[in-house]
Amino acid sequence: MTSRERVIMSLKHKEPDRVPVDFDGMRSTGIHARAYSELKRHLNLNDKSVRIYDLGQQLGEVDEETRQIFNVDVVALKGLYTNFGCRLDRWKKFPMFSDGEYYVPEDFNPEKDEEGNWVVKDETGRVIAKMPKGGYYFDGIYYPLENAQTKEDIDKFFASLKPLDDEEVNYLIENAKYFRENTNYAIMGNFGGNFFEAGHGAFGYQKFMELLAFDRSLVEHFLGRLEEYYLKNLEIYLENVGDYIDIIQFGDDFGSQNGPQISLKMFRELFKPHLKRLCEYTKKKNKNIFTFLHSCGSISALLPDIIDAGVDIINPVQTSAANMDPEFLKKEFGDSITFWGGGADTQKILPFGSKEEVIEDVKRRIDIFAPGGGFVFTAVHNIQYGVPAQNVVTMFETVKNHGKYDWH
Amino acid sequence: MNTIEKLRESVINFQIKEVPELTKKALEEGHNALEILNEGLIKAMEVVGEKYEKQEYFLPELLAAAQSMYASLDILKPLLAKSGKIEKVGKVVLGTVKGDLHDIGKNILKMMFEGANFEVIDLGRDVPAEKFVEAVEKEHPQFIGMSALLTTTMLQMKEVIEKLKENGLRDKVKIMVGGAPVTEEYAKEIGADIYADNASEAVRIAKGLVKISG
Repeated sequence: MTSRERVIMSLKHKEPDRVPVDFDGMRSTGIHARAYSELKRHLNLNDKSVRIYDLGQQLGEVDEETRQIFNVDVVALKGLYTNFGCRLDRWKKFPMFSDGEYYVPEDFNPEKDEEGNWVVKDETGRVIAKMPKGGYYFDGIYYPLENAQTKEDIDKFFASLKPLDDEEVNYLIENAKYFRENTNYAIMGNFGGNFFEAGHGAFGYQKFMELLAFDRSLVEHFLGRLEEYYLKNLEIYLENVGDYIDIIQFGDDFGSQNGPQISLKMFRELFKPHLKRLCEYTKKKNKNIFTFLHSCGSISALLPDIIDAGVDIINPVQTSAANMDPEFLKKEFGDSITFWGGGADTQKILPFGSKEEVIEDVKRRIDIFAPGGGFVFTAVHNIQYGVPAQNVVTMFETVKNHGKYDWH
Repeated sequence: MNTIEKLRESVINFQIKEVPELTKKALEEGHNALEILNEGLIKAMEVVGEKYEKQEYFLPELLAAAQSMYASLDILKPLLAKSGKIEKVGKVVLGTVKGDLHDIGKNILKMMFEGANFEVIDLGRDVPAEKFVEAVEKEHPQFIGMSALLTTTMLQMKEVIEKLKENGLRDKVKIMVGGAPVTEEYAKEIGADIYADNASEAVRIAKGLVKISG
């Protein structure tokens, strides 16, 4: 059975030969560059250098050698551009962290400010993102719509966004073709298409949350324009690489540690219709593509509606959040959605647990999520710096040893 | 419904446009600023906090209600200052720990504390342990509140507690911790005094402790 067959079988809620595994198929199933550098040294791989492809979260690009070692079944189809408008087709060596060897996009030029923080500036010299001294991530600190008052302000913002151009499309086709012709991996189209988070990114978190309560018509206008933009891109995307990809990835963090960030009513009225149209459009263009939604936190209250919107796969299954108990999720929703994640706890066990605790945690989760398929193994979100390399290895080894569907 | 009750309702229902007008009207009717604060705003934010804890309200409604409260408080503040010493419920120093730029949780906590008539010293985000120590020395708060979103930065909370011990300040202040990865268990392990699941609960616990200590 090939990796691709294995993944698709599980997505069809049937049991393949073993639990399929994802590692870095999208930007929430990967590993922090510094943790990856440690892992590579721990495994004594031939190439110990790390390419940092997600500059905000500082994710290292998982490469073929690692995929082979851990029996990974999925590969990411990435776009040409990453954070801050940087291109992923040209790389340079850069001392991002003091230990290890790192590469970043050639046009990524962060500077150290007088306090020792890394800062990223735009072409006008304005600081748009910052990694605090001793920190591990770049957080955006500039919001293009933070002063927006009117629908015209929003229209102006959208006028500055360009749909996918030929160069980006060619980059996608070239990579998709390469993966399809030279590997057996299931291919995940890293599309994005978030609405709620796009609001936070454009207006700033607090302002957008307040607008949701204060000025619904402005928010509706923003979300409507955003949907138009995404549908245009989705059309180009699916027409060019729709036949190569198996999964299309959308993402939007609707949850917090204790519950959804917004009420079910607000989700239904403001966000679900847009998500639904992205899913419907995808299926209309290519019914074989599975739709994937990343949404952190406690979202079980929204899951029936997420399923109803046409989402086939949910990630990262943050089982440490409220009302996200694995047994409950599998029993309640296991027939109607695939859990892509929830394989290991990243808030407690992976960073702070012993080897035995990791083994026990992973085994228990496989026992709950794997029966009947509808499960792709990956940790709850990215593996962060500070997670011991040995725990990462133990996690994947446990899937290897315990993930075979030979228990009945 | 009298004007103060109307004001309370408009804060609860985040009718921010009505708030300044109702505040002025209440003042014109002869209510003093302290009464409007106590009977209008603080009571309103108690209801908002309850609604949030019951998941009747979510973050958008909570934030919008807090902004509505500020729309009134901004008018009352100069008057309260003029009328002499205002009795605050207590004093709290807040900050997001070193290495962490995620300050939404801390900002919400600040709003809820201010809505409960606490004096809040906000140290901002990415705050090194020394700054917390300095603030405790200088401000003599009853509480410090530390927030972290990251598993990598929550370890800083322990550092702050250690630094307070080194400086002989640990027993002068109650330490409150919170944020996504922080659990009650972790709070105990590092020797914090108060763990809360959300901002509203944190303020409720702090109010209770202030009452006990008189």
